[in-house]
Amino acid sequence: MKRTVRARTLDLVLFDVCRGGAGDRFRAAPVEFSRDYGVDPSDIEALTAGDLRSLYDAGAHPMLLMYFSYFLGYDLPGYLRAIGAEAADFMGGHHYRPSEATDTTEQP
Amino acid sequence: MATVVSAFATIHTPLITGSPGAAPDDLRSRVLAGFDEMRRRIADQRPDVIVAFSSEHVVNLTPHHASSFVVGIGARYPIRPEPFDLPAGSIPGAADVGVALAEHLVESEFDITHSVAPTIDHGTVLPLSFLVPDLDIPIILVLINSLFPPLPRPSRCYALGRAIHEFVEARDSDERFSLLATGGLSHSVGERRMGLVDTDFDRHFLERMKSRDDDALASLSQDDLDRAGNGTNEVRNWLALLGATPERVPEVLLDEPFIPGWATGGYQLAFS
Repeated sequence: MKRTVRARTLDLVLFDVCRGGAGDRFRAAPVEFSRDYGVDPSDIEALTAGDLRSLYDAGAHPMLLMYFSYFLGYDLPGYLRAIGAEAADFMGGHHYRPSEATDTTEQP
Repeated sequence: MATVVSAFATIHTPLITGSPGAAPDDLRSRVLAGFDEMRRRIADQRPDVIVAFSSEHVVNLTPHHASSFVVGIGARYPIRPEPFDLPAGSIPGAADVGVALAEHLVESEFDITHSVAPTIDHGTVLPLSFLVPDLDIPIILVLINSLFPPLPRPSRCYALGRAIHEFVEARDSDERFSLLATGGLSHSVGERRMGLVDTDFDRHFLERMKSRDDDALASLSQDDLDRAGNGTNEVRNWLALLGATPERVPEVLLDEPFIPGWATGGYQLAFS
């Protein structure tokens, strides 16, 4: 569960946008807003485009990214589809043993 | 001497109240029956204080500030509004006892943080709303970081529980404490494997809880927990409870490996 500075910077942005009252400022000027936090340029692009899959792969905290998807108007199945989840219909009744999991890569 | 009259551990998935019809009727009934048994015991025992080992979902612990342990020392705990059909407003806190506990933990070399008014969410309110429907028993929140690494080591959470046991034993009062640990066993929140649980991990964990193999549980590693999903970090609350209840063998109130619709295993324990 080690996390990079890049990922932690994304976390800060996602938190401030979703929970910290900065949503309007982000909507008004997402690039400038994100630059002020020192977000990696490729992540600024993903933030601006609402590219959840890239943000996930960049290491954004999954819970904060889920909240960000709600901010963008997604519902939970939509979020799970957007990040390429294996059980987007997660209410359906899946369970697994670790050896069966396909997503075992540690986030950066 | 103050006493611990009971202790409980339970899942807190918000779908229990937020989407009750999603689970099969028989499984939902078993979960509710477990809560009802805990409620009945608490009503009989009439504790003065409930110490709640709990997790939360980015409310007090944030990327701006995340500490390993937060002890509530206030007289009221505001409830964060969430769309899960849970009580609103606030619940009472045992402020004086909370302050004494915080002081004890610092003296015991736990570098906790403390908060006069930590906001609680479904992680705490959901179980409490079943166990104490009138929400009229003061709590002390012991919030354990399960969100933003570095997280406290499982062994440290166990030791925190032991320090709380020592606090109760040393307290020169006739206070009656109940302890509550909330949180899942294995689950994922927001990860690609959200909706999946690790039944092998859960069985391993539960069997060692039942047999009081404290050493095995306290020596779980972060890798062990990561493999079972990020929500599995909430088992720290169960480990703290284990530390706080030495030699008490738990009674299993609920043991359901998977509840379709709620996408979780269902587990509830009582330590008499």
